[in-house]
Amino acid sequence: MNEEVLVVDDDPDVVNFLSRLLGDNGYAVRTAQDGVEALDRIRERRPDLVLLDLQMPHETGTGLYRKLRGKKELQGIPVIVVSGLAGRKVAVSRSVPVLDKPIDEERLLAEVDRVLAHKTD
Amino acid sequence: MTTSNAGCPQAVNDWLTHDLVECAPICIAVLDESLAIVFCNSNYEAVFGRPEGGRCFEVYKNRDRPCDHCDAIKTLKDGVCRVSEQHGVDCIGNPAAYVVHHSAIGPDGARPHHVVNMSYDVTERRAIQRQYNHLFERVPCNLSVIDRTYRIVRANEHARTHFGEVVGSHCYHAYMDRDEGCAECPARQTFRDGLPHSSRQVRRSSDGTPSYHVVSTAALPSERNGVSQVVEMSLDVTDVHALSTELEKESALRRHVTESALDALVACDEAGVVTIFNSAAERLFGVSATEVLRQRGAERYFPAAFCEAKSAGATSLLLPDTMVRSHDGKAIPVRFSGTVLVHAGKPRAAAGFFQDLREIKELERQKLANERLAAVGQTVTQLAHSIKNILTGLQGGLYDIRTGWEMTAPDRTEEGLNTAERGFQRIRSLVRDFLRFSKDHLLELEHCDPNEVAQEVYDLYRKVCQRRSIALRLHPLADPPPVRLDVAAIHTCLANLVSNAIDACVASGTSPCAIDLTVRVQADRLRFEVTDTGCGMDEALRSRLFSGMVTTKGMSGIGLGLLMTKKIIEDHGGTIEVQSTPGAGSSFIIELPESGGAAELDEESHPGATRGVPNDGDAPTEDRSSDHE
Repeated sequence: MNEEVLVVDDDPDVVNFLSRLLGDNGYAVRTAQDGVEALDRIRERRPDLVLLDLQMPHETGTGLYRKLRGKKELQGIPVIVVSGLAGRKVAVSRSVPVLDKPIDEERLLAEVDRVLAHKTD
Repeated sequence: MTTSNAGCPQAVNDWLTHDLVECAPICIAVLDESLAIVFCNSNYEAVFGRPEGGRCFEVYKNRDRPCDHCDAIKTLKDGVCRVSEQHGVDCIGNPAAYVVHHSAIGPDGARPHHVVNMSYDVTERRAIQRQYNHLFERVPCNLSVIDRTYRIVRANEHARTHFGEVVGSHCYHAYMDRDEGCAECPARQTFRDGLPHSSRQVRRSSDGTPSYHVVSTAALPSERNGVSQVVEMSLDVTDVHALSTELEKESALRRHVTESALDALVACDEAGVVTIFNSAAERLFGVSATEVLRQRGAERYFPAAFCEAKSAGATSLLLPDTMVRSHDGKAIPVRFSGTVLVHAGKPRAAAGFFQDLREIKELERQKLANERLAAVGQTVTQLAHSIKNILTGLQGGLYDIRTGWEMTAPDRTEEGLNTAERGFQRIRSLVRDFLRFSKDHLLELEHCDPNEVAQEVYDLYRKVCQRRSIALRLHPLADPPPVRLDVAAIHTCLANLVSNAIDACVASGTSPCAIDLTVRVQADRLRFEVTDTGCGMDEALRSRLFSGMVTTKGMSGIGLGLLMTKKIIEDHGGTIEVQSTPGAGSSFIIELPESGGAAELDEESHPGATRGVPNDGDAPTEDRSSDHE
């Protein structure tokens, strides 16, 4: 069964691109437009990985990240940040990969592979 | 009567015998053994009246029997002359004091058969003496008479009460608790020159309490040359001294406070004469206090508004931000507080406090400059973020085109082209928004129905709000007037405000929340109101809303948000204001002239008004929404 990635970004074109890229490389993809919707999707079904934008309306990526790390049952879900803010100080753990936009496709796929390979649960 | 002057001429003897009694300036009466008055001279009758055979105690004293120690009776018994002071009544009933000389008449060695009573009136002298004594004793200050050895020979009741039995003591010991005379002794000076002198002394009363006195001395008249005694009067001014000391302390404190105050202080009397001009005032107005104090013209330092208010009867005035002029005419920004002292219905004095705002204004200017720099930095960051997102979208489009070509999948290729097209449109929108900030940007006015603009924004956010369980309500105008607005720009403004309201509702964490989008006309002004029951804002955030970039958003905004909204509204000749209560919600109110405000910008005089920038009227609604903050 394909590993599932939840893509969270408020930009539909970015969401489409990431979905297409990951789908072409064998991952199952679900999407959410902001942090609130993402939390709903995660509660529906636990994904194997979350690709997370930081600046979003209504519930930022940073807010969602804090919620994931603050709930025991969600702590193990790995996160990769994909943000135009990469390079600036972002409020996530140093262990979380932060990728800049526009996206280096090869690096993104490599990070997704690496993170999923090290996934603990 | 006998005479010892045998050689005296007969005429003189006759005068002595018959006329002397009448001429002598005393009262003379002769009493027999029963004390009946058998003879009296005319002076006697003038004082005591005609005796009419009455007895002396009846005539002199209105008594019905002789006095207990009557000198006349004694002289009638032993023939010895006696002198005494008697008190009786005169012929009209007034009390009278007189000195009486009793002399016997009768053969030598035998018992006298008559007695001569010779008296003179001392009533007035005794009255003066009584008055003097009374005055000396009862005057409410310390009085004492001092001799040349500085011994107190007499002290009044007041002095005895406060210093004990001082008579016989040296004044310096009795009053000053000293063993020798004082260096500054006014009594000594009076003894020396006979003139009055005075000094201030600290004295100790009989219980050891120190008291402050003003001491004055004056010479007592003396029969001989020089001064044998002086009268010393000391007035206890302890209370006055305490008040004076307190007043001096208060005055010193006031001077200190006035001088050390950071604010300039200028005060004047009712004639405009400067009475206070402290160091801070010297610095503020650039003039020395010595040039200003006690001079007229205090009004030149006060703001004109204060002088006018004072003339109109006001007693105080606060001007948080006003201007005064320095001595050389330079305008100085100050915070001013003025007060007028009114007494008996008339202004008697005025004072003004001036807080020099020059440094604060400079700091504010620097702060504003720094904030602008920070805003520029933030804008650049947000711009870069937005461009990165658009580039990522374009990247996706190119990916689809490339992979669609490789996979011979025309649908994917077409989708990639569409995505690239959207990226192009978004970049164009971004550029357009930035152009809105340029001073030269002109509105694209068109006749429209304000309800329709609000309806579009409502439709745009209706589903978003449904997902968030937020009640979004639209309240259109019943009879909307035709207005001229830049529809796309106003749409952006309303979308900004509704999007912000959604954020505030989500952030509040409470449910249910509501957002009301209202269109109304009030006082000939078109109003759009966006009111939410979200988290509200504190004063700090509220004050930053329109002054810089405030963003909590993602790619949908480029951080220009309310700054751009304000610019658009002001370009329409309107205003935007916000009311907010933390925890209760916020209300943004846009007011526009019904005509659209900028409608005066007719096309002839401003041909760029509709042609200066490309018309984006055909841009999809989603594009508008994606621009807001």
